[in-house]
Amino acid sequence: MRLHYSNQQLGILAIVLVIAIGISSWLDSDLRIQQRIAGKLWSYQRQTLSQSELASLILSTPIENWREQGHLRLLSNGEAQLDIAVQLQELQGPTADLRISIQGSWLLSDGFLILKSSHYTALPFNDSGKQLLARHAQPLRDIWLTLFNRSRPIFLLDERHILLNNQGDSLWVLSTQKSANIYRVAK
Amino acid sequence: MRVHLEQDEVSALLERQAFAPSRWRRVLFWLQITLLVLSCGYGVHLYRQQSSPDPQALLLRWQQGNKQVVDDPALTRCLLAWGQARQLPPAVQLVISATPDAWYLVWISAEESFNFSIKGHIQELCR
Repeated sequence: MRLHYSNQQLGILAIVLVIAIGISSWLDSDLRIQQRIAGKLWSYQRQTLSQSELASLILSTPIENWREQGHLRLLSNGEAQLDIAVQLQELQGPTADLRISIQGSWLLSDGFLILKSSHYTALPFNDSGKQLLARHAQPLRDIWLTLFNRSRPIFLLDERHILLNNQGDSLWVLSTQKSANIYRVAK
Repeated sequence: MRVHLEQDEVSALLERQAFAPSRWRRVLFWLQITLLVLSCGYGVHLYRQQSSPDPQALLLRWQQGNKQVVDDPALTRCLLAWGQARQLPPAVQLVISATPDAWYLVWISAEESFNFSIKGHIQELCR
């Protein structure tokens, strides 16, 4: 095609350019990330393979092993719920089994996922958990709410994994399964 | 050598000159082409970055919000053996990150992700 630099050619090119810039901006936008993460159930497992210093300090007892399995629901209406099964093992002691549930809201802004809690529940699942909660209910609540109420940079690793950068370079990767989407049920 | 132009040749030249695109049109056209190429390139880069993991890169290092491919077969083998000993499902990707007093390993399988926080240095695990 011979170039005439006509109004028509310039107009078509301008439209294509606007579309290309629009798509590129959308790909890099919070909106795209929001569409990818909303309405899904995100799961993870986390384990501290050494003495957990923060927990040991706050609970005033050496925590040898910290293991958690969590599910984070990020609903499209901005509500969030984190359900965690936690196992805390005191030094040469029994393992306390707890279920923590935190409800709140989530927001995505400038590439940061901001979680805010509004309700916290902790339930013991064995005797050690019951004793731990009886002794340290408030410090445990402080730990979990501190961990939850943060803004973290969010990165899409691929279709099914997101990475949240905690303070420093600590990592929190969550996965979603195809079948784990939160489906709407028709009335 | 013929120095005179025929009438129709002169007319054609004058017509071409009269209807030649102005300079700003050319500049605008090529500016648009440049921007189009740049925005398409950026879009493709973002799409590829977000849609699929690099199949060749099994081990990544996360540092200040950026991922770097770690080309260290010995370290990769060591970490894979460590995970297999713990009966973790086959890894699709491993992500490591270090802070001054601990390091983090994320074992990503097709369905799940396992986040480990380990005190000390990564080399201590893979000596």
